[in-house]
Amino acid sequence: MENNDHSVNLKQRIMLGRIIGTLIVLGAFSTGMLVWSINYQHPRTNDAMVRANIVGIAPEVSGRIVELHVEDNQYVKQGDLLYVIDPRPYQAKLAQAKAELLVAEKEVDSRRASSGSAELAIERLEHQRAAAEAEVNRIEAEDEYLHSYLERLEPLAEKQYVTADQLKQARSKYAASRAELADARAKELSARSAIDEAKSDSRRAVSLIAQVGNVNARIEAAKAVVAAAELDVEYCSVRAPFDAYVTNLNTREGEYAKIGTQMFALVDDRHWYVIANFKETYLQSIRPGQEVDVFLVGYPGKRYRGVVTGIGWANYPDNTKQQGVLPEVQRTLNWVVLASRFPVRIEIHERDPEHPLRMGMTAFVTVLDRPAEIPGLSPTNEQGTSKARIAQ
Amino acid sequence: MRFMPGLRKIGLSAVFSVLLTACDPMLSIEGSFWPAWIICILAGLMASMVLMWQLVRHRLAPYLGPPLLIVPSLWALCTFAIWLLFYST
Repeated sequence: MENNDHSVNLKQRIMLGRIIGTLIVLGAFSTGMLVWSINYQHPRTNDAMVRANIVGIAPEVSGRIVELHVEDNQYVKQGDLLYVIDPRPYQAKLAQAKAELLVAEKEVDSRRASSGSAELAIERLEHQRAAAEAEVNRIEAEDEYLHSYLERLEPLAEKQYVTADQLKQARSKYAASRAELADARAKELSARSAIDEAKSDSRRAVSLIAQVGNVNARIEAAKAVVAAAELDVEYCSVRAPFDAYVTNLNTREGEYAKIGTQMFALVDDRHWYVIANFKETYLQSIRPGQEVDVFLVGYPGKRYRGVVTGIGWANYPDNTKQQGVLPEVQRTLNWVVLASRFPVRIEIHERDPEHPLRMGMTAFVTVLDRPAEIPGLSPTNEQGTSKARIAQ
Repeated sequence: MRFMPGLRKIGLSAVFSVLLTACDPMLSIEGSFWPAWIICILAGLMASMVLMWQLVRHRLAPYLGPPLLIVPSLWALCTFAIWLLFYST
């Protein structure tokens, strides 16, 4: 009886064992497939970091820093005064530029006056030329009369109807008239050349005024110098261009700030995002506008909601090398090829004062298979711009 | 009731896994971050050892099938099940 019970128990155990064994194998296979499917539908990576836009703050003018209103790691609002460069040299330049503007205005007035007098001189010379022309006409008429008188006397002199003295007198008058005519014509020519010279002087005076339409170039140039000097004075006070955190500030008052040299950086607090490098095999499961779970290793258990705003279009192709002008092609035997990774930009909209975001934090992201419900998000489009723009 | 101690142990290991990571997808050990799949593999190994011990205790192990197939499958099943339970969402 015991043996019979034992054999029945053994048979049950064998049956149960086979069922459990089969379930283990099938379960491993099915859960493995499910894991693969979920991983494919919800791509995830830990190759991700928190980023923010960094703007280096460099002065537009050189000079000694006389006021420094911020500390390292301080939060600043847009328009807050960051530091002041000694404005006195630039104020002096502004005063000089304003004085030069006044000088330019006076100079232009003076040249306008001299241009007016040149016009008057031309008018006067025109009158003189007209008088000379009239004199030439008068003398020509007189000359013509004397010439005809001489022509009438000469046949009469041959017949001795007039004396030789009368003929000689007529010839002498005619010769004097010719000389007078030549002199008058020379005067007229002189008047004409004087007019040309006066006109040339007038044109020179007009060009020195440098008036183009309603704009005077000299005054405008002086005004531009004043505007540049005003701008330089304004640049002495450096203000925050946006809400940001001051970072890497390692200087104090007295430091000489050189133009264009960055003194510290501002971390833009308006946009925080994560750059996650996804394998190319997952890219077709990622689209702009999808919701993303972001975990930061610095804050265990804290979940941030993000949205995919774009996928990188270019990655440096590491098989492209060049030696001189020729491509350098390595002889390789790569049987196993690793997938390229592309940066996916994920905007984080949540802010938590208890868990502030810092650039460079390590993140773990999971792209969810649903669109993000974030107000102000414009429709997404992978073609063309491919970026889901967030309202500012 | 004979299975209860084994179930308790499995439950404890699962709870331990949750508490260890607080469902965070990464485990931080002195500044080094370990991914979920490593945690799942280790927890799956422990869970499969406990399960296999229970199967041996109940004299079912010899009838499961080829050990080379069953043991890795059990480990894989535990690993995948832990991942699905705690890290899939």
